[in-house]
Amino acid sequence: MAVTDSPQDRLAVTSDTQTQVIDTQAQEVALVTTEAQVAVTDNGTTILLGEEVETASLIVQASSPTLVVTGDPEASTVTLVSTEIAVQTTDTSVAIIESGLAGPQGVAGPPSLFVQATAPNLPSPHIWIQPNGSGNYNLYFSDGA
Amino acid sequence: MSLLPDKHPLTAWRGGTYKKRWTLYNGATATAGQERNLTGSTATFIIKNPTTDAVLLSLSTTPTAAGSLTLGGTAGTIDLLITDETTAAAVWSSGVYELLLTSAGGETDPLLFGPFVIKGS
Repeated sequence: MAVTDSPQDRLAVTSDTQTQVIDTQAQEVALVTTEAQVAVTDNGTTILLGEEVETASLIVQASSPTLVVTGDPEASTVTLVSTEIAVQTTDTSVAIIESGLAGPQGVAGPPSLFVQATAPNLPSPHIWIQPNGSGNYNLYFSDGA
Repeated sequence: MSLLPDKHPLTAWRGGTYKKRWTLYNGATATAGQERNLTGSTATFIIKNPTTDAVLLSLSTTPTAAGSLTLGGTAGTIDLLITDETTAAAVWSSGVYELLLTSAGGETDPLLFGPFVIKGS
């Protein structure tokens, strides 16, 4: 994970597999963390909502691969005062495919950050067959987990 | 989410009785007590012409002169029987089959599919 150097009016979003630069004139970006699956950290330390930080990471988990962090300006927010922001996944089966700034979407307040990631490639429930040593076969069920 | 069947080729001999037993387990190992309870379930075994989709042989848990499927209840077994008269009279030598299991609740799961070949003259 790395964060690229960028002009003050751009946010650089970098993951292990891709770099995304988000154009914005905003000096402050609100991350509205209304989704329980969203974890916002600053160098590994969980950010308290409402706290002002200079850097942040938005961690996308497999349990919620598609996140749109938008919303209610009354909700608790983390205000970024730096251009450095990183988006990363905590599951190798999830890849970030898009992130950026949206808004203000008709609501008061600063733009919101959104992150969309691929859904994990979960195998389907399936049957597999194996000989049982007596000339016959056993069939096993897998729930795909 | 639908269940994906496994592919398994089957080969019979023309004029010979064909029997096969499968035992279903709920998990990934043949652990005693983990056999799937097939009480109240039914099964079908259908062989089709892969080109025309015409049914070459259709068996179920209702026995016929051609053969049958017998479910073993709590033992989780499925016994396939194709009679020697059926294999002897078959005018085809290969097809594709499906083994389907319908639960007591009416849900149908495909268990196996693949080529079915009758060898011998």
